[in-house]
Amino acid sequence: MTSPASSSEVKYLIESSEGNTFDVSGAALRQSNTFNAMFLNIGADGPIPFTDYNEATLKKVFEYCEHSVNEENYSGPKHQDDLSKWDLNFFNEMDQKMFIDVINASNFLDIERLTSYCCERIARMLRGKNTQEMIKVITLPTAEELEAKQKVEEKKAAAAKKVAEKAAETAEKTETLEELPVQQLVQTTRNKLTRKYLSFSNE
Amino acid sequence: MNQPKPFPILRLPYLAIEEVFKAMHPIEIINFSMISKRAKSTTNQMTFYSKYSIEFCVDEELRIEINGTDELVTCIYLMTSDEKMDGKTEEDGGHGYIQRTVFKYSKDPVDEWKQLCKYVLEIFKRQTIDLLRMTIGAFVGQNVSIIDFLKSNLISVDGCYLDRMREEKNVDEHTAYLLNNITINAKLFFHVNIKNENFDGKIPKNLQHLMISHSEWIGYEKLLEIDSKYVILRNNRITNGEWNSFFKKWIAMETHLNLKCLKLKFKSLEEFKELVLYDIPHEVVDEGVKRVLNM
Repeated sequence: MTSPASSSEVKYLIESSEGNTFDVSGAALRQSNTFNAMFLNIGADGPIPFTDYNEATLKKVFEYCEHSVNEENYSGPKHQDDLSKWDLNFFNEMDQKMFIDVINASNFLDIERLTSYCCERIARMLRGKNTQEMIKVITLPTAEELEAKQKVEEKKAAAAKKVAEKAAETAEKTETLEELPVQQLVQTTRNKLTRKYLSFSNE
Repeated sequence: MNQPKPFPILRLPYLAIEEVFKAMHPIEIINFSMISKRAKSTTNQMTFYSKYSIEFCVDEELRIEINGTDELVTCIYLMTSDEKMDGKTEEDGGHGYIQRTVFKYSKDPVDEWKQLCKYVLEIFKRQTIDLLRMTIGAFVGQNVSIIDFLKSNLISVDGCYLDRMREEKNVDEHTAYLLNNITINAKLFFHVNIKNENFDGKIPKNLQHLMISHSEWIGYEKLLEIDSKYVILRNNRITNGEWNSFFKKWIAMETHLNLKCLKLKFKSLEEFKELVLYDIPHEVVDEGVKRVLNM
């Protein structure tokens, strides 16, 4: 049986806030430290619920991850001038809302490379500007907006808890599975593989 | 990304905001903090500022220099007497390195410099700076107030570079006042031409590096006060007999326990061997052989 940690062919199902699911390769997902910490060694029994982010945002984030699968290991921020044409297009085609959503999702998923490039882009908006010039390019939230932000943070914490619970539940199921008779185990595993969204090692 | 709309930077999660700040230059962070109280409090929450290197300079020009975390950015606030230059920025550098100088005009440049120093220390949460560079004769009338300001806003400085102006002013008292009031942690480069043989400035102890280029005021008693790792003295008032006594005490580890290397000026090596080292076992090493001193 293939271990999800060793094969880039493994696909995982991701669930968005709309309840939609879509495939992401294991290699792309492994760029997320959050995923690595929660699912890499135990796999996931069912779609991974990143339900705090919409489908478009998650697809955008994983589009970046899929693209950078074959790039060298991340070793700190690259100068924006060194970004490839593909990278520049990737950033340029986002509107502000999508850009913020991508940063939020990338931050939650702890994808260092993407978060760093996004943040470097924001820093460049402020490059060389004095206080008055900065006021023109950024906006600071009102008290109401800050309150709303706090609520969102709380919601995210709850979502993270949900994901962690899911991981724990999967781990529990894995343990139970190991106790099944061999024939039943093979059948169960085959079922899961045909459903495409889970493979794990029982060895 | 085309975005005519102002960017809501504080709506980002904290870690992302910190990443943005890490990518900003130090002066941009200062400018950002001045937008509003909320911007200032956000700026104050960052945790990476200890990696910045901060230098205060009281020279013919008053400066504050901040080096970024990657050593590729140097930001300088330079006080200017030219009102037209106020707020202007000059950029220099190359090969990925940027030096940005922002000019600040004030009718009272020393006071403006002090206020800015205070703000930089507050924003970057520092009570110790990396280097204090001071030309004691540059603002003679304000030396005491500058030293008092530094004393009340800094716990210590890691390095201190003291110089004098070309024209000879007697700044002994002010130099002693600085040495007696500012704590220096690691390095002192002392280029002030002290006129008084009884100069009573306190020589800091346990430094990594102490260089006194005009050391005529250093007598045997002062020599015994010096206990740093790497010491350079030029001219001095120490007699040959006193040097001989010092070396014996040093070898016997009676004094100068921290001292590992001493460089001093003497007329000739032969004379030094004959007059100072005559009864001290020693070895003369080939100057062409490179030796590494583990400090």
